[in-house]
Formats: sequence, C-alpha cells, structure tokens
Amino acid sequence: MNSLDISSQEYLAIDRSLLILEKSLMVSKFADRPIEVGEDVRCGFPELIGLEAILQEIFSKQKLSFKLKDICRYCESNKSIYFNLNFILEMKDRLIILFEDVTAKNFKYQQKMQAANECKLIADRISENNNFQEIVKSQKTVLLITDRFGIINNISPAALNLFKYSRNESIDRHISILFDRNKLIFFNLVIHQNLEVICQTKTKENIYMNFSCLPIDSQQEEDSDLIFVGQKIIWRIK
Amino acid sequence: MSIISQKICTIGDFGVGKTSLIRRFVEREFSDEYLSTVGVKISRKTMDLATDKPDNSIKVQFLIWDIEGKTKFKGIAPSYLQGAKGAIIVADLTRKETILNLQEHIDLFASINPKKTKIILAFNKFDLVDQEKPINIIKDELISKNNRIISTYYTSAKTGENVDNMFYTLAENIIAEK
Ligand SMILES: Nc1nc2c(ncn2[C@@H]2O[C@H](COP(=O)(O)OP(=O)(O)OP(=O)(O)O)[C@@H](O)[C@H]2O)c(=O)[nH]1
Ligand SMILES: [Mg+2]
Repeated sequence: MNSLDISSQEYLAIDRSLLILEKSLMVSKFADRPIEVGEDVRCGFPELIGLEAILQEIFSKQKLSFKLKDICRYCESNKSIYFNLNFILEMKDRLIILFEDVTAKNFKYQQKMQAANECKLIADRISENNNFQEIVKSQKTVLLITDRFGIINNISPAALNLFKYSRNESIDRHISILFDRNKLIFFNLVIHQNLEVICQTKTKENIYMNFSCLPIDSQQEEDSDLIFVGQKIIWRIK
Repeated sequence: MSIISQKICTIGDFGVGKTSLIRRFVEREFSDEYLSTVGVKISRKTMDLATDKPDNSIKVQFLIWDIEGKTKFKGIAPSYLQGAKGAIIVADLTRKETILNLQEHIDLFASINPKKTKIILAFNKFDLVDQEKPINIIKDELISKNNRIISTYYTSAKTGENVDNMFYTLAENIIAEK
C-alpha cells in the first residue's frame, strides 16, 4: 500500500463526494469555520469551491497532485496565518489534504513586498511630478531621498520622527549617519534591492529595518537620485 | 432556497486597488492605508439576484479570491485561477503601466479557464482623475480583441462608485451562463 507518512503534519482525508473522512488533531486552526468528520470539506475550506474537477482528476489518477500556496486566513496585520495545501491520493477513494504552515515565511515576505511596492509607487509619482517636496512631506512612510552618492536631500516626517533627527541635522549628511556604510554600495545598487539593516537613531538606539531602494529616474539610473523606503522589521509573536 | 457558490478572482498589478474594491463590496469600508497582499485571501459575499419570474430571486455566494498583485519580480500563480467562473481584472487610472498590462492578465486568465468564463475590467481610482477620455482608445481595443470581456467600469473603491454594480453584473452574467 502506498500509505503516506502524515504523522508529523496536519491533514484531512476526504472521499469522492468531498466529505471529511478523518482529520488530524490541530487541523481546525486552518479552517474558516468549525469542521467535523462527515461534513463537506468545502464548508470549512471555501478555497476548494471551484476545484471539484481537479479533485476528481486526482481521484481518477489523471492528475497526480495539486498544490495551492500561501493561503491567508484572518488578515489583520499581525494575526493572519498562511498555509499551503497539498492534494494527494492516498488510496482508492481517499484523498489526503496536507497542510503546511508558512506563516513565518510570508510574514517576513510581506514586509519586504510592502517596502518594495511602496518604493516603486512613490518613485513613479515623484518621477512624474516636479513638486516632489510636497509628496515627500505628505508621506506617512519612512522615506529618504539621496543623490547617487548617498547624500540625503529629502526626508519624510515619519523618518525624522523614527530616527530622532531634525530636518537640518539630516539634510546634506550621508545616509550612513543612519546605517552602516558597508551595507550600501551605491554604484552597484541592484534595482529594488532590499536591505536589511540595523539603524541607529540619534540617541543611539538600534532599530531593525528593511529598506527598499530604487533610482527615481529609471531611464537614467546611473545619475539618478535614489529613493529609500523603510519598514521596521516586526517579528511575529507566537 | 438554495445558494449557488461561485469562485471569482481579482487580478492585476500591485497597488491598483484589488483588496480595496473587495473590501468596499464585502465590508462597505475603505482605508487609505496600503497593505500589500501576499498569496491569496478569500472573502465570501452573498447576493440576491432577481429572476424573470415574480417573487423568485436566487442567492449567489461569491468566493472572491484576492490575489497578490503582479510585480516586476513575481507573476501571478496560475493555480489560483483554476476553476474560476469569472475575473475582475483591475488597473489603476493614475498609472498607465497598469492599463498597458491588462492584456497580459487577460491572456493568463484565458489560458487557464474555458471560453465561457467572464471578465470585467475595472479602471479603478476614478476619484483621482478628471475625466475618462484618455483611455477610451485602449479600452475599446481591449474589448474588441477579447470576447470574454462582458463589461468595463470606471470604479472607485474610495467613493464606492460602480463597485456593487460591477460585482452584480458579473454575478448575473455567470448565472445566465449556467
Ligand atoms: N483614491 C483612491 N485610492 C484607492 C482606490 N482604491 C485603492 N486605493 C488606494 O490604493 C492603495 C492600494 O490599494 P490596495 O487595494 O491595497 O491594492 P491591491 O491591488 O490590493 O495591491 P496588492 O495587494 O499589493 O496587489 C491603497 O493605499 C488604497 O487606499 C480608489 O478607488 N481611490
Ligand atoms: Mg491587495
């Protein structure tokens, strides 16, 4: 028998009518609603609605497996969990759905994406708009603009607040007043590079940050000013 | 009365307003803050649709897949689109690039789902632009090239303009196909 080793993972077993035959101890934490053996699996996992044809293909061995990645549940910034679903036929008329918790990975990835996406949005807006002083001023995000050598020429109120510098103390200074110079190789900056750095505030407090960096003018990257959007790295508390 | 459940997807570039449109439709709320979506999150919303017969409406439950937006570095995972009966493909009227990328999203959805699946194009953030004229040419070209497109809307998740309209139109068209 080609029985799967499912001892270490959360799982559900379902039959051809998509009724739950068996469930592992903790699998309910992934469900959208409470689930019971004998019920239709789609009640607790609405992700399966629309996938009936694919599941039948697995039952009839036309398809060997199917995977859905990074499904999010309870999407309030800190409380969401993410999981992957793996569908595999265990034996005739018994399909196993394996659950893989990928919350930690996605939590980190979200913060990187956030900085990268915000950086691109702001860079686009600034490159289209001459009055970028206003755009920077209105930003609620930690935002810095430097010339290609790393000299700060603009900084958002949120950034000043976080690093405890005044405007005058930061403008025309090198960005390394905030973080380690070694992390920044300006001439070879890969576009959209993500930098994980330990920043220091004026009061010598350490802050773990994730920065995304882009040239403002994507046509003339070599000479362009650089935009940095930062996010405090938050570790998820279990 | 029975409920018909149908899967639909929202796709498009990052930051165009997919999550905001769903939030407006399902929770009647809007936020100016941007929290980029990772992976996929599913919301449910039940609608009452009128039928030709008097006193006879049908209930349709939409399972709306809010899918991580496409970036330069990561495309949309095709497995998310499997089994969808329709899609709302979203562009941001303030970012031309997102409009030019619509065809790519249409092609991806069409490559995975059969011909009778329906597509609506949402030109979002309509509250931020003065007029609709500049994109009419692009819009007409998209419609003439892609016969799955049943409708296009200028939407605003912020004011709610055309949001309900768009989702109900999609639901009616999906039900009519059944
Ligand atoms: N003014 C205005 N802003 C909008 C509208 N729709 C969305 N936004 C804003 O645009 C930003 C992005 O919106 P989201 O709904 O998160 O975009 P998304 O397409 O889900 O983005 P990803 O999840 O990264 O793909 C947010 O700051 C929203 O507040 C709109 O109709 N009008
Ligand atoms: Mg989103």
